[in-house]
Amino acid sequence: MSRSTPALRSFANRGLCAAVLVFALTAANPIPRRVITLAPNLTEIVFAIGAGDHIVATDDFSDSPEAAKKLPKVGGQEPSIERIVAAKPDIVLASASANVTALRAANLPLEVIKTDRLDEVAPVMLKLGALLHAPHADEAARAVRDGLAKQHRIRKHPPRILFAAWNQPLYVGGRDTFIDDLLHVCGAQNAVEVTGWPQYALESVVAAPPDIILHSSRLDLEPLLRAAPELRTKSRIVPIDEDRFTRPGPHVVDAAANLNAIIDAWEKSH
Amino acid sequence: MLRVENVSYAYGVAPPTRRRMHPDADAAESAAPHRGVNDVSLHVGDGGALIALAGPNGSGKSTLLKLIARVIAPQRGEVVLDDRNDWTAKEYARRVGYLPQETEDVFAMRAIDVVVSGRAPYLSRFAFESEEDYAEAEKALALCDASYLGARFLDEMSGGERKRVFLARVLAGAPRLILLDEPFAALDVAHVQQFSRLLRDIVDRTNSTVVFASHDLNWAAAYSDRMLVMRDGRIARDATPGEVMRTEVVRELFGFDARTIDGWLVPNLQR
Amino acid sequence: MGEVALKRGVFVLAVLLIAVIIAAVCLGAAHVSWRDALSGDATARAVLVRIRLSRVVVAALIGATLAVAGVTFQTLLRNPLADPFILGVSGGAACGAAVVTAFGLARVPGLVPVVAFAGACGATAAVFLVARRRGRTDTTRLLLSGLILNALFSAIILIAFALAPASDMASALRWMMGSLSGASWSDAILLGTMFVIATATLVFISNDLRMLAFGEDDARAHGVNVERVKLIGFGAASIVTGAAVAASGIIGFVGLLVPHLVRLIWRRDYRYLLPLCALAGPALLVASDTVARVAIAPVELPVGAITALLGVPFFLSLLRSSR
Repeated sequence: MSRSTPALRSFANRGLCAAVLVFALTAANPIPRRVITLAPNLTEIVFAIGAGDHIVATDDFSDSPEAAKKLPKVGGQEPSIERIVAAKPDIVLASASANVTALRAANLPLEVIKTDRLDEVAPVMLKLGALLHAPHADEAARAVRDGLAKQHRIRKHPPRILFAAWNQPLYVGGRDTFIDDLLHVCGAQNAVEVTGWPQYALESVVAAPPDIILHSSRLDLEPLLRAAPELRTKSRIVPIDEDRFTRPGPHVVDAAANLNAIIDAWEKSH
Repeated sequence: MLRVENVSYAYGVAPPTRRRMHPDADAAESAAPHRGVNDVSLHVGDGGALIALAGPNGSGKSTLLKLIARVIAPQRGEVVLDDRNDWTAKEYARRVGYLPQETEDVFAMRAIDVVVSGRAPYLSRFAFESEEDYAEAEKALALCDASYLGARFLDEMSGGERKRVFLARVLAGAPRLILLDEPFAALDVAHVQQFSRLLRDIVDRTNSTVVFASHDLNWAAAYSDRMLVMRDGRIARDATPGEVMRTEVVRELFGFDARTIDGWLVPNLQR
Repeated sequence: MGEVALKRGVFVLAVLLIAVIIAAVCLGAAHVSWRDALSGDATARAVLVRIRLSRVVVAALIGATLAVAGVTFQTLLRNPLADPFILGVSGGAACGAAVVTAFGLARVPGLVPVVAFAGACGATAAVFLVARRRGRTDTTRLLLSGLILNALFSAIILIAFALAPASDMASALRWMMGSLSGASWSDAILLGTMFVIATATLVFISNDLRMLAFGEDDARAHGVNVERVKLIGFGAASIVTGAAVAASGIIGFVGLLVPHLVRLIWRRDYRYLLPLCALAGPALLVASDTVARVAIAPVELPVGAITALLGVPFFLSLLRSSR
């Protein structure tokens, strides 16, 4: 960038103008920015921090909140770079799993946001709040922090919980994952001792049946239960709203509350 | 022994069942230039003989051999062996052996195992070859001066050795009529000599009849007792080599300028 | 003479297979013993009999099926590169699974395997119809139409992937990766029945089928009804492959590698290779699946990768040492 005085001056002016504008218009309508979100949890976060109005397009999977459904879509696994460019974004928010290379190659103003873990949600809200000058970032982050603190449980007999991500073959949520963090907040113990999202031995599950098996309501656990019918009696099998449990966004508190309710119900029946 | 009666076979003609379904396509195909054989009759008597099936490329030699071997079925006419044409496939295969010009051996095996597979027409459905079958195979190899090849694998043999192994395979089936398609084609002159002596030996020792196709008139004439000269799918001449290999006969048969000197065909190099 | 060599080979491989199976049922992620299972411990019995043993049996049957189908395809097509999937069986099965998934029907119980099986059979039939001309099935046309049809199938699969609900796609992916996880006794019974019928059929025609290795005209000259043998051979091998693919997805390499392994050691014709493959195939797949289960238990590795990792070095060393 040129460091000539006029440029500097114009930059300062612009900054000043912006500051004045922010002041003048308060929270209602801050700096005009065109935002594209390429992950459902990022869409939720941007809405939660009060910058949802600036989203001009999202990826196909962003279906929450309601307002996000009506926004233009730029594609799913492989979003259309053309559409993204045509939407003239000031900033493109993508998760680390996106096709970053293609987005970078298109010279887009890309911001890669890593939200793989539970304790990353609140900081990401603050970070995006600063980036987008969002009005409610602090509140949203506080809500997540306080909410999670409120949901935190220490249980005398932590139940062993397994999260089944896929049925045949069995894929599970292991240690150092978002779901593992949720289990810990709620005072439960992950029945899986390895890290990541591994393909897992069914016989290990049967040999030491977990107290609760969680699975996405979209996933039919029947094939697995046909192979291991004793799990029907030895474990409590609970379908959960996958979107809530796998999107590190504003709904993590709901997920934790939901999980606590599931565990409480299990404790009662024991 | 063998009677071929008014046999015709044209390529590109559908078998009768399909012919009715596509009359138009068939009509178009019949109009195509004739390949194969056209109304061929011939007779091969009992008693060993070495018969050459000579003629230029595309004259129908291979097709005629396949028809006699029952690899393909004639579209018209019939092939009669020992006054019968109701042989089962296996029965026929025991009496008539056939060696195609190109043999396929993608998965190399020991020569003796290849040769013994020539006993296939004698095997019942679930049987493996018996000691006797292997003895026949050994004998056939010996007859082809190839006993030393028995334990070796096909893919480590020269073209001439391989040819002898496959000839032994035909002989292992003890056929009375042996059909060889261009047996000399891949061999050098020395091996052609060796192989032709072998054929003569086999005829003499087994009293079987060998019919071999050859596009080379000289070799056909030199190594046979009788020549069937084919042209355009028909047998143009059925005579002794001495009768065929005369300048005026060759000119009449093939219409090209050549001379024969002492029964050998020599291309005329003067224009 | 030949039978002695065959009996020796069958004996060696049978011993090897039994040893592999014993190791497979004793090793696993869960630490339970057969003594407990036999003395009536319900958990041990569930783990060992219903989960582990059934999986080992299914692995053995699929290994046997793929190896037998592989050696049959190689002989019929006279092509050392042929495997059970070469005529579109795998593409048809995966395509069926993917299309069912794209229509959101993946959760209808039992539908995906049935459609996968139908896809496999349909693909084989289509390849045959294309390749059949004037009452004869040309081998080159078969290979070519199998290749082209597989390309068409992968196109359909890609489109199905683009249209399907993302969360359902994993079930179609399972078909393409191949997995023995969740194998049950009902799978084992179905596969076992199909395998026995198909192999008996192949044994019935094996004396004729082996002659095809020397070329079709040559086989005809030896009294073989070539078209009938091809129809029965391809049919039996394809149907049983379709059943294997429907049960476990596409487990690559066994069908290509095992026939060559067996051939490198015994170098005999199809009649010998058929029973030897039926023993060597399960030995390799059960061993591979055991490694996949045990190597970093309780995490499981993809069995297809282990098959290649175990089989290829063995194959290469044999290839180098054979003359």
